[in-house]
Amino acid sequence: MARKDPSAPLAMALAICTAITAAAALTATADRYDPVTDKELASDARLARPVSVECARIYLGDLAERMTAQTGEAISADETSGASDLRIMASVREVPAWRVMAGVTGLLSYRLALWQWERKGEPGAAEYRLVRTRGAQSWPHALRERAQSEFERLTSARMRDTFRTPEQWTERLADPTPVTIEERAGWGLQVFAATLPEDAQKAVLRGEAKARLTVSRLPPWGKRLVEDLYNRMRPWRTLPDGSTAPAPFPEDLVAYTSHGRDPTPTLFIEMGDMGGYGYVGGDPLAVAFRNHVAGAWLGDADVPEHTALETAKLAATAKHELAKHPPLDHPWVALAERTDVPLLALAPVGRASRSFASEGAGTLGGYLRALGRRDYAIHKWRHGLLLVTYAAWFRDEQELHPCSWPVVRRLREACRSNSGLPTLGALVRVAVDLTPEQLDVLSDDWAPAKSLIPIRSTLEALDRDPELHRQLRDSGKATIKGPAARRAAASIGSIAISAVERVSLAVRTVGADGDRQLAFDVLFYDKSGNRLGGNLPRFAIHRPWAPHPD
Amino acid sequence: MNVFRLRTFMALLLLAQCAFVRADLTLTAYAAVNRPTHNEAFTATIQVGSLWYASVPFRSISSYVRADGGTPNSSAYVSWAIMVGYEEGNQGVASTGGATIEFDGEGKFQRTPDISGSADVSVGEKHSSASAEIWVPNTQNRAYDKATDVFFVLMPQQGGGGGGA
Repeated sequence: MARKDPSAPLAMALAICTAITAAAALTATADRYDPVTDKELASDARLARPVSVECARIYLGDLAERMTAQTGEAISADETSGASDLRIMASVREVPAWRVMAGVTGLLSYRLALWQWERKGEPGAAEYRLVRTRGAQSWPHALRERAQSEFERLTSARMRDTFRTPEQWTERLADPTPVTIEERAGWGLQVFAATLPEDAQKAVLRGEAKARLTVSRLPPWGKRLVEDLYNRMRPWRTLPDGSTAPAPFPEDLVAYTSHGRDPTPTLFIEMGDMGGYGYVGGDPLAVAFRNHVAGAWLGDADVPEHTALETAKLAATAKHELAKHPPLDHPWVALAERTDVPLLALAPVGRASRSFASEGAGTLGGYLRALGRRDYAIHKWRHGLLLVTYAAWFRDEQELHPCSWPVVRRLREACRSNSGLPTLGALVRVAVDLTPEQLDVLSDDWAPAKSLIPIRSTLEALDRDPELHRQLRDSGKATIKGPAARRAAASIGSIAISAVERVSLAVRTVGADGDRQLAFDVLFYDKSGNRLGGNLPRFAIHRPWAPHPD
Repeated sequence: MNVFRLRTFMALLLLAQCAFVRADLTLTAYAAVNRPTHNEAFTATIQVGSLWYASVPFRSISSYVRADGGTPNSSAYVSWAIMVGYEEGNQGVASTGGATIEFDGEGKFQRTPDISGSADVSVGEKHSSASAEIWVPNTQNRAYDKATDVFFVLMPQQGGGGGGA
């Protein structure tokens, strides 16, 4: 008789537990997204399929959907981490999908601020999604803070270094030599420091205020700076009759902080009609900061230069045409259009600079260096893709107020289903789902979005009241009365809200088929039936303004 | 004779100044306009013959022209023009001028006039625009930018009330 093993039940239980754990682990692996390396992307044969995307500004959510369509692989950009909302420039023709995917993370990632591809499921039947990690989400804020603190630190140091005692000023003023170029920045900074209280200085340095200084109230050495600059600059201006005359001697100075296209601020002091120089910050700080950003941008898989390709000539005219909207007719687009090199770029919004077009006749490397001077652009190479970004990207409006890709996608679908014009329902959704700042960002691609900002509260009223919405949609007219009318008028800004008693709405499609437009009229009336305000808001969308460069 | 001498002197001065212009001087222009915007339409107030006009305010926002140099002691003679509201025959407002600029280590010069004014505009769909331009005379070195917006100037309504459902 076989002896019963007393440990058998325990072993059986352990075996069952192990089996359950293993099954759970397998299930978890199948359901969970895990980060993948470039090498793992390259090892998926389906991602070797070529993709082509030529677009001046494309949402990453849109890019992922196009790659899905072209490869058959499930590729997405995560919406909860905001990965889908960023817009980049893509100019790739017949490039394996995995290289484009690796390029996207290379373009957007910094050390400790990673964008990464994650995979769910087994290779061959996997799903991929692009994720912006928490580090990458907080990185723009960290850069903004650092740029500002470096600027303030530098300003304090320069103020200390260029300080002069009253005796030293007296001695300098006794010397008839005009203010030298080397003296100018420190001299101007001392005018700023000596004439403004500390809290006013801080407000200016932080971009919260401009300070106006009266020249007649400046100390003698302050007036001397203005006199010497006026004499050296010999400013002129055009008079109303078209003739030119010397600009008058400045009565006021205006001190303010400005970034322009720089990653860091500069303190300017403008003098009357003369304009003004930068007194602290300027190129040295911007270049140092660009180098800081560039250092954090270069990853292990990146190559800083590609000599063979960068010495190649750019075409004198466009070889390809990227799908684009105004105002993206700018040098970054011109670069992509004059080379066959596949590239991805995080480009600044801006318009053409006429002087820059001539750079296209040079080499790729020369053009990139010119972009570097103009926009503090930086570039690198990854898996044969040229990646270009710029040092001030963290100040871009799309970083500060990213526009939700799912909202944009819904709007585009509504326009497609309505011959290019948005439906009333689509307008309501966009106005409700996006903030005014986001609508402003959306207007980069779709100009009518800006028009929605003043009538946003009116569209919100339609969202709150489905019956009102239905009435306006079906009959083309509707009226809002009483407190609801005042709420509906809240975003207009140009009328006294408390006087509003009735809001009259009318929506219609006008014009022939070739020139259709959606007209949305909003009229405000007081208790006596008088129309309020001299302005009559009207929202009109012409058909060619459909929001998608298909 | 004096005029001729002055012109010759100015031409020589300009040539001398241009000789010191940095080849890689970067110029930037940025234009923005905020009045009128898409949604600010105006009730016509003036009738001239059979045409109606409205007085429309224009204002620039954040427009600037900028010169970025870098090498201390480099010099340039720069002209600028920032205009708001010049469109379709409107007489907008402008600030144009120029100066000799000399770069120091900071390498920055900027002009940001705050321009505002009114112009009479005929009834209908109109465009408002702001443009900024900066250039170094007698060179190809220039930058230009323009922002355009759409607004409507409408016929005045007869009577106070009415309109709408």
